[in-house]
Amino acid sequence: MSLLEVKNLKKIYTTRFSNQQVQALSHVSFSVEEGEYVAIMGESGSGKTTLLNILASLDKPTSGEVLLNGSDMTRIKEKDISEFRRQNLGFVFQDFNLLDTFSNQDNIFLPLVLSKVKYPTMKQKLDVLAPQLGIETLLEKFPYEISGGQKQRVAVARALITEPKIILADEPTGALDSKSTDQLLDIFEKVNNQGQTILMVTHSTKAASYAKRVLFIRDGEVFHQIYKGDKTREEMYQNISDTLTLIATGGK
Amino acid sequence: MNSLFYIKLAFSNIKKNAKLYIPYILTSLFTVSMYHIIQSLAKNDQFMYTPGTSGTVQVCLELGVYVIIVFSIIFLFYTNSFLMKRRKKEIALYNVLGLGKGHIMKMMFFEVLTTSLIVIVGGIGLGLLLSKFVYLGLVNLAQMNVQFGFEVSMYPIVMCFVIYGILFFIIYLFNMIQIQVSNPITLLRGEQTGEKEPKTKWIMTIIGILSLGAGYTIAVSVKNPVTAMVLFFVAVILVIIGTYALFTAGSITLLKALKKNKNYYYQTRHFTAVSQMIYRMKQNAVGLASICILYTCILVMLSSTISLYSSVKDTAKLLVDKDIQVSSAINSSYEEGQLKVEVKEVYDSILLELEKENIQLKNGIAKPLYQYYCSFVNDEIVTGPNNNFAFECIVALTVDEYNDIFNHNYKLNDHEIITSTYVMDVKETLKVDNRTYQVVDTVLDECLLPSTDTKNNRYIAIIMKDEEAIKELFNNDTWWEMYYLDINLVDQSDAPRAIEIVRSIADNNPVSHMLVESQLEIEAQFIELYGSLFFLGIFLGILFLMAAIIIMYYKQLSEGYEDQKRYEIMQNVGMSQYEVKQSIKSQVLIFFFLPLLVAIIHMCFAFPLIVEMFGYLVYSGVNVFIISTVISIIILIVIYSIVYALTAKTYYKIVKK
Repeated sequence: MSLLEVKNLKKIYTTRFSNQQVQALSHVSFSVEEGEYVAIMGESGSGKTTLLNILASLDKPTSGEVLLNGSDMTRIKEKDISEFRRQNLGFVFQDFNLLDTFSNQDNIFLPLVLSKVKYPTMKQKLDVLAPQLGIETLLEKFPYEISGGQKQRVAVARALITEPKIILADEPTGALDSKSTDQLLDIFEKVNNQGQTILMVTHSTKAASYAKRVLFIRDGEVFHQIYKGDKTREEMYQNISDTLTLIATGGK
Repeated sequence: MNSLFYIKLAFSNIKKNAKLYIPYILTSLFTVSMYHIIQSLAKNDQFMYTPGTSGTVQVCLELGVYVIIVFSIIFLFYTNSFLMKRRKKEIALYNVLGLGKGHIMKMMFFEVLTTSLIVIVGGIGLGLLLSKFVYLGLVNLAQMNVQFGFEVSMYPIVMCFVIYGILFFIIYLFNMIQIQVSNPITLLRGEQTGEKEPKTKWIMTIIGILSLGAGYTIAVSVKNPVTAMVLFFVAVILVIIGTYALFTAGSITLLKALKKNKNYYYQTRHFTAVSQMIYRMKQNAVGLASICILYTCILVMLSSTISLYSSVKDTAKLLVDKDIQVSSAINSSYEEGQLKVEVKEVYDSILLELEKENIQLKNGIAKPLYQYYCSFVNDEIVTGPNNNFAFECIVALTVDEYNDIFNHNYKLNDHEIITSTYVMDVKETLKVDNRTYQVVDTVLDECLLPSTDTKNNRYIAIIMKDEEAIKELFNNDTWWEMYYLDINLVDQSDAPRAIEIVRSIADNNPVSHMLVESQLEIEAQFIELYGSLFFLGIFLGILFLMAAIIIMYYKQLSEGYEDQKRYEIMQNVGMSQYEVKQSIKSQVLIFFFLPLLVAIIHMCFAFPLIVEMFGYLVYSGVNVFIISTVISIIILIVIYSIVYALTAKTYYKIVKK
């Protein structure tokens, strides 16, 4: 059984002031195995964000199912959703979403505190995690005192500390310079090698080239996918870039 | 670019910022109309020239005028600073898009012109509409007999334009200076830069605790009314300092200490609350402290004016406890008691005249009393001026006079006395200075003492064998002798007629200057004074309450915008809708009710001091104070809770977006 199975996902938005309907996802099906590192690519308006929102249980599909470990996420009751998210999903956002009122350490603790974990346990987990991400010296500081790359690493720590089944990353390198991007992608690769499943939505060919598999979405459908297999990163990069060109020039 | 362009720009700016500007305009407008009302009342000729009014109303209203002016300055500056803070980004954007600072100044000039015109003209309009209403309210409270006639006069209108025109112009200049010294990039970034976590300020915290403690101690330990007056202001200043220091520094020190306690801090409920409160207190402590002080003012004003007003009758009764009292001074140096005889004749003629007019008297007692200062010390009497802050006095009369007036048949020997008093516990002997007298009897004849008031005018009547004995009692010093005529009526409705008769005879007698006092007139005077104070209390109470509410509203609004992002993030990280709501609720609740709670605590401590201070003026006792304080607190809580409900709604709406 796959860790995550997406079956015939369909999402139709009705605009508020007219009855005009916009189909964001027509039918999307794919599955993610445990320990996989999947990148989802596509142009603006292709339905990437809608897909991620549904996977994150922030949005409900019009039809179709999302199975995590075999149970359907879309049927979870409203009041249990937050807990479900805390226990199963880790999030990394483009704009970090760190709270300025918390120190970095408290930002990382936030999901655990919400799950009522005791302080010593949290501290223990962080002591393991911090060196891996190179953020030991940042813990006492506040988010507004550190750089973007550092912020994103803190955000990754926050996502990892709950030991989620899957990490959902939304354009994680979008706001980073190239050096920080490399660092972050190295970290993603490292945690993936330790067995962490990652699903990343991205624009960046470079970011996608780190993934083990790349899904291309166009007009609300999975249009194509590439497995990394034994390819080097350069080959992968070339492959992705060729596919993007194909999509852009309208090949079917 | 011509002026029309700027005017258009100004208009659209105000429109776009309606959420900010409407409350600003409304409250300023209300403030102007309050000023207009009180100014036109203060300048109303009716109060000046109506017979039977003493002008106390006018004095109270003049006081109100000054309070409102000072209040307007502080309040308008505060709300303006809030507006400017929210608009900085917009102004910077204009600057970046190519409007020079000069152009912005021009644009903002038209904005200020528009808003202040709306505010002043609207305020005067509302003032005119309401002032007849308020005028009737005041006339009723002070129970004045004024002819209807409330005319629109120019003076208050002109004053509104002058005072508020100048004020708005100064505020405009103030804003311009701010814009001049700032640069657009920092303005643009303005709200986004993360704020530093505030540091613990131990010194301020300690200062706050000390001054609040000192203020409270003074308040509860004051024991007499005159020192109460003086110390009241000391205590007020100490408490104000304490409040500000504790709200700004004390709160942060406390929250930081909570944060240090890891087991407490890392609990779901405390985690977000504590960390956010630290920042909120940093930004809002001053505002909250101000609100707290305003509430305390409202409570003190309302409770004291309500109790003054509601106890007018008791007060009048204790100041003059006879329906009518005529008094005439007869100095001890006057020879042969001739004057006494003549005064007695006048008094007799008064009683005769009343009888002729068919006015039934419960009693009409004429009595000469020898009076001498003294102080009561442990059931003994020390003669001479005292420093007990209360008027303490021996009144003496000879046994013959006493028997004659009250129809008794006492006989006294040397060193034997009869006493009558409400304030001392007289034993078998009474010591006056170093002499000891045998107390034959203690009596309580009605009308024997000049007044039964026990708080500030304390009397003991001593009846002695003869004048020689009294002279000895007074150490052969100069005493003074008062000749009283006390009249109590059977039917109170005769009072106005009786007073007129008594006055006509007493005022025109050729013998001596006589003072006529009556409960009815005293009561009217007190109603006028306390009524106008009560009016002022309500009036300023409303104004302060409005100010406190609008400050709160702005706070919630600005915090709502800041919290919007914060709660979004927390939801992303896995906080549920329900938890978000709970967290918002508890924080808003704390913010709303903390100042009120502290104000009530202040009030509780101020209570003994106020009772002591007004003990002079209110004679109905502590109960009246307690009841009126409780009433004012309840009124405040009710109004406040309504506003809370409304504000919380707006806040949720913003955050939920």
